[in-house]
Amino acid sequence: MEQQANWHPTSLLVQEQDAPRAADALSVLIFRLGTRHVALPTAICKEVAERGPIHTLPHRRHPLLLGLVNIRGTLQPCLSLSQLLGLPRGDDETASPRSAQQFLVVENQGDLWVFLVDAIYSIQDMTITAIQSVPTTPEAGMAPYVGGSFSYEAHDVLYLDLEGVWTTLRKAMQ
Amino acid sequence: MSSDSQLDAPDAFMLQLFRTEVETQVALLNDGLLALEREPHTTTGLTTLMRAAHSIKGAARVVHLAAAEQVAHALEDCFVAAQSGTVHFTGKHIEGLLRGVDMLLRLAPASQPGETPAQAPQSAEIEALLSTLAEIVTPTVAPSPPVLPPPVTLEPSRFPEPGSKDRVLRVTAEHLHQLLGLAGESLVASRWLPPYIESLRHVKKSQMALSEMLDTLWDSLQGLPLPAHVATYMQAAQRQVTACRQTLAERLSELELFGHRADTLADRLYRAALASHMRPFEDGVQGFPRMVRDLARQLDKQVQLEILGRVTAVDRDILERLEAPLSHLLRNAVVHGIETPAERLAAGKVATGTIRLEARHQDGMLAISVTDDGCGADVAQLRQRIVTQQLASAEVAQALSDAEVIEFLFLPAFSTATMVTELAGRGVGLDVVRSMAQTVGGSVHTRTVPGQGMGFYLQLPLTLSVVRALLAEIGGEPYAFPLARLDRVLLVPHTDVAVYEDSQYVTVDDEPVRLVAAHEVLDVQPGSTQEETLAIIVLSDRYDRYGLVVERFLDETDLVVHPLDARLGKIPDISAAALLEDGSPVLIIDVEDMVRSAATLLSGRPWRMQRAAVQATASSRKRVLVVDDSLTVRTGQRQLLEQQGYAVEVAGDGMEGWNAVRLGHYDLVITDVDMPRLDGFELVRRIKHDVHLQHLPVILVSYKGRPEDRQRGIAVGAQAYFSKSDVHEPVFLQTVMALVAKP
Repeated sequence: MEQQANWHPTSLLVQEQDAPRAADALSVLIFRLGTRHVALPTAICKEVAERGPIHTLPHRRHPLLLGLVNIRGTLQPCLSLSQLLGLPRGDDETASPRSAQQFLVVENQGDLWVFLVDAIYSIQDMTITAIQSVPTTPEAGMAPYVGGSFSYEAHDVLYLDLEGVWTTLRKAMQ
Repeated sequence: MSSDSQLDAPDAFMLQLFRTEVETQVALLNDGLLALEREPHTTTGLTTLMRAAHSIKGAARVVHLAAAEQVAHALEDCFVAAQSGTVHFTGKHIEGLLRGVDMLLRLAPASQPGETPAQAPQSAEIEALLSTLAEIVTPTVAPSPPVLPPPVTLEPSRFPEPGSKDRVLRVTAEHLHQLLGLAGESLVASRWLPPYIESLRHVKKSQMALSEMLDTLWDSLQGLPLPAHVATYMQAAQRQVTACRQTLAERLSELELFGHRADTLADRLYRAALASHMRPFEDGVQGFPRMVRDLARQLDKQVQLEILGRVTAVDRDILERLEAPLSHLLRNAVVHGIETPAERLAAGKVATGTIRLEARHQDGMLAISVTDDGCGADVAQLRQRIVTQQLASAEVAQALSDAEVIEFLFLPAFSTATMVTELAGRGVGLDVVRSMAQTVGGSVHTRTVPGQGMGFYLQLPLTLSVVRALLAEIGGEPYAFPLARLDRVLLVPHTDVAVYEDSQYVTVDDEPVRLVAAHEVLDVQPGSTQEETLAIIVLSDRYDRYGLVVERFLDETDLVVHPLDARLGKIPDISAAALLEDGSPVLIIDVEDMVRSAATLLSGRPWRMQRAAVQATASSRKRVLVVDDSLTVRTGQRQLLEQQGYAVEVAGDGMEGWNAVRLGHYDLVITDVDMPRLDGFELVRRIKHDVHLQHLPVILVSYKGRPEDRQRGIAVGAQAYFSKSDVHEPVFLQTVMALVAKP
C-alpha cells in the first residue's frame, strides 16, 4: 500500500543536543531539487510534510509562486526553490514522482515559507569552515544564494545561504 | 524600561488586566443599578453589585490605584448598607452610584497605550463623589424613618446565580484561528482511518481464503496414506491460521471502535472550536441600556429599552462590528423616534416610549431589529429634504414611493436632524448601518408607520467564519462560490446556447444572459471538459448579470474561511481561502469582483492585458480610472475622456475603485462622492493615506456643488472638485490634462 499522508513532522527535525559542538558547528538539512543536492541550515527548517495538493493563484503568474498549500490546517504560500536557483525544470524524468515529493517548511521572522522539494535525505553536522573551504562552481544565477558546498554520499551538496532571498520571495508574492 | 521604580509600579500588562476586569465588572454594575432603578424593592441584585464593587476594590489595590480603590470601597459600602436594609436607594442615590461606576471606568488606565487618557478625573471631583456616596450610607440630615422592612426575598446563594455568565477570557483572534485550523486538521486526519480499516478488512478476507484453502487441502488428503508428521504439520497450520484470524478480527474491531471515537472526538472538537467564535448577543449590547437611559434623561423623555434574544449566538466579528450601527440606531430612536411624554399622552400613547432591540436566528441568518413605538418617519418632510439637499428634483422627489424616500435615509450625509445637536445628527447618516450590513454580506430594511413607530431590520450572516458554498472546477482546480451570492446554477445543453455577434447567450428567466468562461476571467489555463452540458453559474451585481461557465460542479459544502495570507496582497476575484474535507486548499470567489472582471473582460478591454501593454509603452497613453455608481455617468465620462486619447477604466463604486487603484497603475482617478459601500471622500482619504498611492491625483465630481462640499473634498486631499454639471465645460478637461501631465 502506498504510504498514506503523514501529517506529522518527521523525527528528522528533532535536534539532538548532546555531543559537544565546535564553535563553528552547523547543522544542515540535505535534500534534492531535481538532480541537485542542496542543503539549508537546520535551524530555519520548521517541518517536513508530505506533498499535498497545490492550489494555483489566479492572476498570479510569477514563476516562483506555485500556489497555496495546507500546512497543519493553515494555508501557506508554496514557492519553487528550483526556479529561484535557476535549476533546470525538475518535473521530467529527473524529478521524483509526485507522491515522493515533500514540502519543506522554513521560517523567517515569524513567516512560514513552503518549498517543494524532491526528496529529503538527512541532517548532518558540519562546520562552517568545512563548507566554505570547498571551492564551488555553482551554475550561473545560483551564485548569489550559494554559501559553499560539501560532499555527502558521493554527491556534491550546495549549501544555500538564504540571507537576501526573502526580499525576492516577498516580491514574488505580490 | 527603567528598573528603579519597577518594584512598586505595576507593569503595563497588569494595568491592562485591571482595565479588562473593570470593564467586565462595570457592565455588571450598570445592569444591576438600572434594574434597581426599575424595581427599587428587589434586593436580589445587591449581592452581585456588592461582589462586583468588591472585586474592583481588590484589583485596584493590587495595581496601586488608590483612588479607584476608594471609590470601589465606597460603592461597596452603599450596597452592603442597602442589603442590610439600613438604606433604601432612591432615584437620586442611583444617580450618584452610577456616577461612581463611571468614575471607576475613568480611573482605569486606557486599554490602548495610544488612547487619549479620557479626561483624567481631578482629585476634587473624586472627593465630591466620595462624599456623595458616603451621604447615601449615613445621611447627614435626619434619616427618613425606617420604612417597613421590604418583603423578604430569598437571597440566592453566594455561588454564582444559575444562568450567570461564564468567566470571560480574552483570547486573540489569531489564537482562535489557529485552534480552528488545528481542529479542522484533526478532522481531516480522522478521515484517514476508515480507508485504512477497509484495507485491513481485505487482509482479513485473504486470511479467510487461506484458511479455506487449508481446509480444502486437508479434506482432499483424507483417506490418502500420509506420513504421520504431515498430519501433525497440517493441524498445526490450521491452528495457527485460526489464531491469526481471531487476533486480526479482535484488533480490527478495536481499531474500528477507536476510529469511531477519534472521528466523533475530532468532529466535536471542530464544532467546539467553531462555537468559540460565537458569543451571546448580550455581550455586545451591555452598554446600551445605560446609553439609552442617559440620553432619554437629557432630552426629558421616558424611554424603556427592551433587549430580546440576549443569548442568541453571534459571531464575534459580527458582534464587534454591530456596536456602532446599533448604537446609532438606538440614538436615532431616542432622539428622533420617541416623543416627549406630553406629546405621547396627547397622541393617546403611554408616556413611556419603548425601544425594542431583538436578535434571533431566522432562516440561517442572524436577524436583528431595532423598533420603537415613536412617531415614525415623516415621509413628506423627507421628500422636502431630498429636494433641499439637491439629491433629486422636486418632480422626481414627488414621484418616489414612500419606500424609495425612506431609502434616502441610508445615503451618506443625509441627515434628518432639524438641528445638529451633540446627541445625534452630526451629519452621520444611516449609511453607517447599511455599509456595515453590506460589508459582511447582509442587508437592512426599514418599515415605518407614521405616528406609530419605526423599525430597522438587519439580516446578517450567522457567522463570518463559515460559509456555505458551491464548489466548482475551473482550470482543473476547485473554487468555492458562496451560495448567498449565487443567482442561479444551470446545466445547459450546448444546443441551447445562442450566438449573437461573437457572444454566447443562454436564456434565464426569459432574459438573455451573456456567457463568459470562468478560466478566462480568472486568467488561468482551461481544464478539461467532456460533459454534454455546460455548467453555468449565474452571477450579478447591481448593473450586470453574467453566466460564468465552469468546467463542472463538484459539491456543496460548508467551508471555514481563512483570510488570504497578508503577504499576497489583494488577489483579484478572490476573497479568501479554505480547506476541503480532504485537506486540499480551495479559493473562495469574491463575487462582486468577479462580476466586474467579467464585465471588463467582455467589454473587450481587459485591464490586465492593458496593464501589460502600458508597461511596455509606458509613456504612450495616460490612464484614468472613473469611479461612479451610475452607469450613465461612467459611460459619459469614459467617452469624453477616450475622445481625448486617455485610456479609461471604470469602477462601479468606491470599494471597487479602491481595489482597482491598488492593482492598476493609473495617472488620475475621477470619482463620484455619493456611492454605496465606500463613498468618494473615503476613497480619496484612503488613496492619500497609502504610501504607494498618495501622489495619485484625484478629481471629485458630485451633484452637490455647495461651497462646504467643495471644502470637504479638498480637505480630504482631492486635487479638484467639480459639480456634475461642470464636467462638460472646457475647464474640466483642462484640469484633467494638467493633473495627468504632472511628473
